[in-house]
Formats: sequence, structure tokens, C-alpha cells
Amino acid sequence: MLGMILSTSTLAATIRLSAPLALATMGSVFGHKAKIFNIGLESYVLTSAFFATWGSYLFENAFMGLLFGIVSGIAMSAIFGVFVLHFKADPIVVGIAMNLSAWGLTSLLLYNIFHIRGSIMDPRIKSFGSIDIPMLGNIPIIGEMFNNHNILVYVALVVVILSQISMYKTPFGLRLRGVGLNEKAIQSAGVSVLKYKWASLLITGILAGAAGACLPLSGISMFTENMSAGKGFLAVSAARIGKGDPLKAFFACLIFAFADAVSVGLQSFNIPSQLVLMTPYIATVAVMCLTNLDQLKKNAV
Amino acid sequence: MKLKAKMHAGWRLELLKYAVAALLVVLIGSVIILSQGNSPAEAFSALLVGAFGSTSAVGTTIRWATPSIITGISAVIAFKSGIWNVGIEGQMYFGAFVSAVIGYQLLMPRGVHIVVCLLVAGLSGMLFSFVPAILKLLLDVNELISTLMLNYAALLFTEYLTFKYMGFDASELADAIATPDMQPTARLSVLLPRTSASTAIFIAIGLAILVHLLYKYTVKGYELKMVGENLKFSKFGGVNYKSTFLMIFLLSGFIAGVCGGTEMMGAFGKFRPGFATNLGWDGVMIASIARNNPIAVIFISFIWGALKSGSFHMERVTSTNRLVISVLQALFVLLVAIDYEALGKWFGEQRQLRMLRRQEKEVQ
Repeated sequence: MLGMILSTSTLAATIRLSAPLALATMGSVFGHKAKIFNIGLESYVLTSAFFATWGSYLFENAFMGLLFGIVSGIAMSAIFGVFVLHFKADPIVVGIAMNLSAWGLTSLLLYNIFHIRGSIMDPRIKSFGSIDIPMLGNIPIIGEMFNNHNILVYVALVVVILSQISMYKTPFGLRLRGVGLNEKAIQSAGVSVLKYKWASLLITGILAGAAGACLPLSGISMFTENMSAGKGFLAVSAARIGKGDPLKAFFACLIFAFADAVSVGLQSFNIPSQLVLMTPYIATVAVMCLTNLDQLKKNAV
Repeated sequence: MKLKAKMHAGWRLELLKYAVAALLVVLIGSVIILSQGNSPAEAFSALLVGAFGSTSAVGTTIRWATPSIITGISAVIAFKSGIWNVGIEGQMYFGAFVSAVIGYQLLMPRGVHIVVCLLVAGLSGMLFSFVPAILKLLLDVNELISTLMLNYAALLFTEYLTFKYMGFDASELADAIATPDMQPTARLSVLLPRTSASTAIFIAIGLAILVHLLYKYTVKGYELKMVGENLKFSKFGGVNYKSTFLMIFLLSGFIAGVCGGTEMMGAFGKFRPGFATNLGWDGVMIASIARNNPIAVIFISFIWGALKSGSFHMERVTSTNRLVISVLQALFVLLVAIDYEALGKWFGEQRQLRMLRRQEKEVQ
């Protein structure tokens, strides 16, 4: 069993499964640094998963699906932004309400557009194909782990690096972090807090939209009701665990994806599927505890 | 005097806000229903008939108002003190499973059996809520995220427990698996004949009134409220934050568990995995609309129950998908969350800004 857990196929699955999480987490990281608690991320991921499926279905092209996903992610972010930044509604209430309406809305649209309940599977829905990188495939272990993934996996890895650079090496990142640290100070330095919060929401929308597109379009070519299954929540907690640092948050993503990959592998053993499916959620809570161990002394009675 | 006038104006603004939100929701709903090729007038009238049109309609309305009230109260207790316990659904699952098993396994006289079932349901919910509560206190783990995660875990774990209890080869189809029927001694009486409305509604209303009295007339209730309104002040005033936090969380979990119990003892009669289908989230929405007022929870829950009961009828009669109603409910929560004063201020600022710019141009 240990051999299965550490096998290269599990590690390859970890990389593959980390893509949607990493994209959504990078979106969440920018929100985190701008001090926007965006629990509505789950609704972004679910809605864009649906629209990505629809886009791919309409044009029989995975890239059109991705475009649909990203646009719907931006639209969700726009709704969140208007309510939170301009209407001054409680971000948690807005997030919860958006999640609940997204659960209903995607099922409703599934029924209205495809006249189907539960899930849609159609040959017209095209997924991204896997890419064979010439040299990489020849390297043992690493090649197996990183080769033959679909394009979004590589995009996700690039996005992580770009996020790290833009957060710490660019004026934009500096100002964004300033917005989160002290709004009044950064405002007096001539930075528009509102503009930067909107910018962070735009990034969240784009990346969470791409994350949503990953779910139906990276091989299985289908959309099921409530497909995101907490991926957005996982991304929010990964960003929190990393305290808004893109690389640290990505590391948390890898742990969650590993738990997910192991749970897929465990299904071949004689362990009840319900317990296996619980692993990613329990892993999240466990990691949140472990990264906060230093609080134990402070809070000891 | 001035304060009173201000409060009065605030109350009127609040009412206006709800009216505007309701109007918008009906408008948006009509557009969605029209886009499905159905008539909004027919759909809404079917909704009303399904909610109040007959004894069975009223019964179904009461039946669905019951869990809404209890989960709503569970949410109010947590939210009023600024604690984001959104794990009500998970706590419900545990309460429901344990009470269904106790209700089947033990043989007791009727009155005792009901009380025992309610208590173990509450205690199971409480035990499950202890996990996020203690993690928050000791390790500062954000309770909103941990309870969200534990909801998924609870749904899966109670499904596992059901299989474990019934034997893993009990059913090939996951949909068909359920615990055995509870003993009649553990079932609550039917309120309206041939409907699923049970006396659980009295438990629900009783709980709401009890919590209302707790906040209004007891020192403990005042302390609980203070923690939510001003943490620093309450610490200064000598409230022990840690023990108060734990108490609120456990109480909220207890009531969520009770809701699981009443669902089993009232309408369902046996535990089926995944039975709750967002009932916990209904409570979160209702508490948010009710502005954490226990009495308002009762009224909104009846509207919620009517909408649910009506939506089933609407779907049957007009083929309008009943998911429209759940989308509109969430939309209503979104619309009443708008801070109108801030919105007015923002518009005022924009107008001033435009005027300033115009004047600047004129000067140039």
C-alpha cells in the first residue's frame, strides 16, 4: 500500500489534480493579500465549470470552453465586487449566497440547455489533449511525473511562478500588499484602494474561471451537478495556509492534490469508498491545524 | 428623542429594503420563468396553491418550515456572537443518524423514547461541533473553513456509518440504503392527517421563543450578544471569551443536531444518507435575512416552507423547474445584504466628484 502511495503514477496524478486547485488558489492569493475574504470562490469554480462545458460543446473546441470559463469567472467576480466593494454587503454573506445560487443555477441551466438532470456527457464536448514534451519523457521518474499532461497543468505551473514574481517583484504586487496591510497609508501614498481591490478581483475571476474549466475539460469531458465539490473552498484555505504567499499556498495545494491522488489509488484496496473520499477534506483541516501549531502556546489555558 | 427618531427612520428604510428586494426577486424570477417558456403568472399562482391551497399544501408548508426554524435558530446563536458556524448541515447529519439508530434499536415507552432521541441527537450534533470549536480555540483555525470542510466529511462519514450498520452488501444501489424504520414510540405525532407535518413544529417554535427569551431577559444572553457586538468591550466587562465562545458553538451544534433528530422523528422515520439537501444552508440564509432575530426566524421560515411546498406543486403543474425558487431565495439573501446607507453615500460622493470635475473644467 505504501508502494502505491509513493508510486510515480500517484505523483503524476498529484501534478494533474493540482492544476485546478493551483489556479483557483493563485486567484485566491491575490484576494487574500488585498484583504478580501472571498468564500464565493466555490461559486466561481462551479459556474465556470458549467460554462466551460457549454463553450466546448457549442464550438467543439476546448479552448473556446476555456474562454467561456474565464469570462464567466470574471462575471462572477464582477457580481461579488459590486456587492462587496460598492454596496458594502458582508463579504461572507455575499459569498455564501453566491455559492447557493450557483448550485441552483448550474443545475437549472443544465436542465434548460441540455434538458438533462445530473450530468451531461456528449461527444461534442472536447477536452484538452495531453502534450508529449520531447526531451522530458526520457528522464526517469521526473519524466513520468511531468510529461503527458494537458496544457492547463503546465499553464498552472507557469501561473504559480508568475504570481510569485508579480506579488514580490513588481510595483503592482507591492501596492496590492500595501492595500491589504494598511488602506489609509496606501491611500495617502496616492494609490487607489478601490482600483487595486478590483484588480485583485479581476485576477481571481480569470484564474478561478480557468480552474473551473479544468474540471470538465481535462479528460473526462463531462459536467456533473455540484462538480466543484469544495475545490473553491480548498483554494481559499490553501491561500490562508500560505498566508497569501503564492509558493507556500501552492505547496498546500500539492498536499491537497496528493491526498486526492492517494484517495483515487486507495479505491483499489478494500477500503470503503466513503472513507477514501473524505481524505482531501480531512487533510485540509489537518494541514490547517499543523501550520497553526505555533498558536498552541499562545492559546494554552 | 433624536436617537428614537433615527431608529424609526432606520426601521422604515429596512422595510423598504426588503420590499425592494422582494420586488426585484419576483421580477428576476419572472424573467427566468419566461426564458423557460412558461408563464410567470401561472407559475406564481401554482406556487401559492401549492403552499396554501389545500390541507395537504398547508401540511407540507409546515413540514418544511420546521427544519428551517431550527437550523435558522442554530445559525442565529452562532452568528449573533460573530461565530461563523456554517457546519450546521454536518452537525445535522450526525444528530439524525444517531437518533435514527436509537429510535430503532431501543425499546422504550413513547414519551421517554422521544426525549431520549431528541437528547442524543442534540448531543451528537454538539460533539461534532466540538471539533471546529476546539480547533479554533487552541490552534486559531478559521471556523468558517473548517466547518465547510467538515460538512463534506460528515455527509460521507454518516453514509459510511449507515453502510457499516446495515452491512456493506445490504444494497447494491447507494440510493436505496437507509437505516431500518424507527419504532413508533420514537415518532412524533402527525399534526395534520395525511400530511408530513408533525408536532416537531412546536419543538421548533418553542426553541425559537426560548432563545428569544434567553437574549432578552438573562444575563448570559446579554453576555453572548456582547461578544458578537464588541469583543474588546465584552472582555473589558469581564466576559470570559474562551468559555463563552465554546458555549455558543456547542449550543449551536446541539440545536443543529436536534434538527437532525426532529427530521428523523417527524417526517423521515429513518436515516438516508444525504437526506438534508441544503437544509443547513437554509438556516444560514434565514438567519441572515432575519438579522439574527429569533422571532423573525419563525416568520421567514414559514415563507421558506411555503416556497418549498409551493415549488413542488409548481413543478408538477406548470413544468417550471423548482430550482428557480432556490436560486431566487439565494438572490434575496444577496439583495438584502446591501448596505443602502453606504450605497447612498457612494452615489452622493460620485455626484460630488462629477460636480467638482465640471467646475474644474469651467475654471480652466
